Amino acid sequence: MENDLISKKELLDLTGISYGQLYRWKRKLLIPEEWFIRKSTFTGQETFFPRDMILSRIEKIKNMKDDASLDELAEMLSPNPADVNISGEALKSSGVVSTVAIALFDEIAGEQDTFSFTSILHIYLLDKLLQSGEISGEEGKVLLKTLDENFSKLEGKNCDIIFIRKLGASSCILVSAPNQIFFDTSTKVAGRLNVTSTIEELKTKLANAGIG
Amino acid sequence: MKNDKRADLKIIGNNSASGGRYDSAKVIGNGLITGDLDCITFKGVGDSRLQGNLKAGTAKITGSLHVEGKADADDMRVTGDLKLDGDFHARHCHLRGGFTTKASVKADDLSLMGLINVRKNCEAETFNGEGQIRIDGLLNADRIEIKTYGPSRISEVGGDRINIGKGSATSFGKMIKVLLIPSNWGNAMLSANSIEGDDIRLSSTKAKVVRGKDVVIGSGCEIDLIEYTDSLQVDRGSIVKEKKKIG
Repeated sequence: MENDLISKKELLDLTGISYGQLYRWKRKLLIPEEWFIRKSTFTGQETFFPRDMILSRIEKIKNMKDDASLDELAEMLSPNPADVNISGEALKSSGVVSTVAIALFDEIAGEQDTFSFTSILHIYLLDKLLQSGEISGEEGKVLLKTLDENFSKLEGKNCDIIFIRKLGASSCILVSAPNQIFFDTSTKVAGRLNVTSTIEELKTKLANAGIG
Repeated sequence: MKNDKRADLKIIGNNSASGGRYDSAKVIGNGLITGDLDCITFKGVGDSRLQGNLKAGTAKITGSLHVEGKADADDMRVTGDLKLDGDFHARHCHLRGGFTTKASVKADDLSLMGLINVRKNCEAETFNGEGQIRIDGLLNADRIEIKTYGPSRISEVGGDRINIGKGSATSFGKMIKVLLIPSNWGNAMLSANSIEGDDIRLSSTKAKVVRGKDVVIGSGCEIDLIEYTDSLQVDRGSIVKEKKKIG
């Protein structure tokens, strides 16, 4: 556990950012509140961060802050859906998601004229799991249904999507994160995705494709 | 209901009204508003109480206002006492008197003078505080300017430029006209668990840890540990137990 955390001092030293920047980014919600972990040490209270997440986040902010304002960055990094509405054509040609995934989505939700961010996110999650070979097309439909019915309940919160298989039958679970979850030995976790970081990824991809 | 016309609300004397959407809302005297109030301008003279959330473009309060919910205002000016049970959001807030909130504060520009009490975090781009200040959470602002006129306590201070010291007697004279407080100006020290920033100037401050780039410790400070990266100056009238240069 200790290795997964980084102290504030070490973080500043490693990334070369200043206290002023760190606090500014915290104020602008570029760094989520729950990443600030308080711990008692022999010098008193110190703040720690989840090492990998904070390092990649700061790298990202440093790379993007010249091109975008802090408010735009906050928008991009927030777990809330972006304000995007694009046509099916534009989505296909953007290459952000595969046509296979879009076709599956259309099968479940019916033909769409325009895709909202939430729809694109669902397709993107599906696409990621399909591409990695973790789930099949049929299971993809289950995933889409689960997302469609339940995602709004967890919107804005950090959540994971988990695919499990047991004796050939599969099941999809949407669970709020961070959470520990354990299964019996005959159950196999086929795929797992963190939705919040996927949202971030998707927003970046959409921005790079000139959408949103 | 989108393009509804907003009417005006006026409460004069000892009276009450229900909340709603208004253009201007004025309370003169002893007013009670039940329910949420959404208005473009709010003016309170006297003693008013709002049993709900306040949303206002500009709010001007002379006297006292107690909001039993959240308050959100673009521009808030208070001479007197503002008490909130919920979060406070404002672009600009200028307050002379007393400020209490049971929750957190988020603003662009905060200028508070008097008795200040925040139970949770206080965030702003610029924070100007004078008087007796107590913040139980983190005070996070780009520029922090604090002058104490009474024993003050802020759990954590973080920002870019931080300047903390005891208020001077001259402006204190001006203050006393406005305020009922600080007879205990003599021990107007600020105590904090940690103070972190880039450019830190402290006097009459007691802190467990001070971390910064350029740190100047003026007179009357008691600091357990200072960690600095670039420069450090310590006044002879201050006690610093441990100094560490980092990097």
